[in-house]
Amino acid sequence: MSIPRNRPRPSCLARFFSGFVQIVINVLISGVAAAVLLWLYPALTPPVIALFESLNTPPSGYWWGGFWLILSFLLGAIVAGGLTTLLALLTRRKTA
Amino acid sequence: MKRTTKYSLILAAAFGLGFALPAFAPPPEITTFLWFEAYTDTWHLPEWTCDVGSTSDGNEQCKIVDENPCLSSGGGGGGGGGGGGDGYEGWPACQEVPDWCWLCTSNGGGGYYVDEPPRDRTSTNPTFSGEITLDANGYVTNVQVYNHGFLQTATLTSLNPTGASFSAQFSNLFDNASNQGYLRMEGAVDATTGGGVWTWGHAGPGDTNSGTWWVTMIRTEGEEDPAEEPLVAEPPEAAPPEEPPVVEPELEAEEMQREPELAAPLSFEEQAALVGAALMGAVVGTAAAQAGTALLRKPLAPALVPSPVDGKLVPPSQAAFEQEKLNQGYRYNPVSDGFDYVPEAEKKVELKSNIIAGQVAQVRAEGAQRRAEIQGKIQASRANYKNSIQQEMARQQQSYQQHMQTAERYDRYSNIAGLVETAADIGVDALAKCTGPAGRTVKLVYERAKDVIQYGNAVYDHGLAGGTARFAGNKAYELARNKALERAPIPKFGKGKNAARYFQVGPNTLAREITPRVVDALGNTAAEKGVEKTVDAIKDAGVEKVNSLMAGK
Repeated sequence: MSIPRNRPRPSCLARFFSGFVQIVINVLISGVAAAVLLWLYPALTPPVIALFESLNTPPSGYWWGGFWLILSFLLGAIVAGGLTTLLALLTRRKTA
Repeated sequence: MKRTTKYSLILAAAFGLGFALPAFAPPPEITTFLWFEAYTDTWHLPEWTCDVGSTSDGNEQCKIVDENPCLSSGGGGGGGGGGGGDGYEGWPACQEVPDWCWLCTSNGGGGYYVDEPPRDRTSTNPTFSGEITLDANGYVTNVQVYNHGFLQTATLTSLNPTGASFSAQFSNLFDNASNQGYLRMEGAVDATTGGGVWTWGHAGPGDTNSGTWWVTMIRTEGEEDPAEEPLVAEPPEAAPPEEPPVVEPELEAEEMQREPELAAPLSFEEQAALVGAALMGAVVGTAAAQAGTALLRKPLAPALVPSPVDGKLVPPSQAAFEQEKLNQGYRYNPVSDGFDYVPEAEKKVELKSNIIAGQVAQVRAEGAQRRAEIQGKIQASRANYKNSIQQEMARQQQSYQQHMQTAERYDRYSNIAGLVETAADIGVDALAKCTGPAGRTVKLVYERAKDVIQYGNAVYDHGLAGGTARFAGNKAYELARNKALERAPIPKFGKGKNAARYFQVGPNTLAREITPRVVDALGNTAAEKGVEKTVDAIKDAGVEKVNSLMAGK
């Protein structure tokens, strides 16, 4: 029995599952972030409306939706990026 | 995360976001138009401008005086700008000249009041009508009074929507007026119904008449199926004419203060859009975090290390992998650049089994190729040999046929020669008997010549020794035969008994003719056998002698 000298790469199935796990993790993280945002939406609405009124912008339409979309995007990015960074730091410490 | 996975997620999130973003789009502009009609319920005309009497049918009628009450008595010309005076007979005099009474100075002969109010208070026709516009939120955005009859240039001067209610005021009611009249409307409307009160007046005398208005028809624009919804023009319960509904604009405005505005709950599409944005943010955040940590780790990445199998510089992970394989019992094979598993028993021998196996396989392959070549040559040689044999057989068959033909021809010649020889023998014998010494000389020469030929034939057929012996045996037998036959009577040609006996077949003739032939046959056979045995014995002895000499014995 002979095996190649080079360290074998993960199989196609293993890579697929690895990517799938990453996707699931991202979906979970984004789901959590979106759930938190939806949970805070009623409480955040009055000050946001006040903000929009101060800017003389109606609390509806694209500006209104864009604001919440950006907020959701930033929340997901911050949560996911923070967890990834934390995991990377823990992994490096473990390796060292 | 793989780059393709990141891109795929970003694209998926972008697509999801693109599909969900319209959820936040503002609702389509829906405009509702409400037609209304206004009817006069109460008159506030001052007495000095009205002639309140009874019509023929007994109904109260407001008569607008034809003459200018502002004129001083005597009509025409006077009173311009002045006050006082008695005015026309039977009519109250003006207490003072109102500022709207511009005709007082320009046309003393009479005329109409300017900014006169609607006259017909008993007609079923509405006093005026118009249109109210609502936006998608139900707010009044415009109030319009249609131009017809005495109304030609009514202009909306103020509109104060407060929630579902509004108040509006018009001016410049007539195109040729002094712009002293006014019209106020107040009420509440929504997308399905509405109504309120109105007041008409002049700057001078104040309110002249008032009434109610209500929505009679609705038309909506901006929906898929805009449809006009005519409403039954049923006026609300008519208030007593003398008691018009009192509208308190200030109080109503306070009651209809806008409620604190709260955002509506998010729809499913909006929630999906937020989840999509969070997903995209998670992907981007993860990618950014991984990129950042990779940048931080790069300076700390260990350098290349020597390989445990051949000393080449390889990454530490590769070196660890190779060391692991060595520990598991594998041996590095530089030929195949891989790891071969070597059992413990074979490790001591240090046998490169794969190399040997490769060489053996190569030798076997070469041997098989050589064997195939030899087999091919053998088959080709066999084919050539077979062909040559077949050709030789054909040639031999052809030669055999030719020899058979030749033998048949020679046989015929031999028979003819035998007859000739017999005839010659008989002739020579006869000549020798008949002609004396000359005939005997001829016979002797003939016999010698015949002996020479026979000897030559014997030598030709049986070789020198065999032919000589055979010829000698034949001659000896022939001499003995001739000696024996000389004793037999000699046939005589010519006349007499001998001649007759010679040609008559009888016992003696048969004996004389058959006996020599029988004797020849027996003698020849015995001589042949004896000679052959002798020759064979001599030849066998010679061959054995030669063989013993060749064998060194």
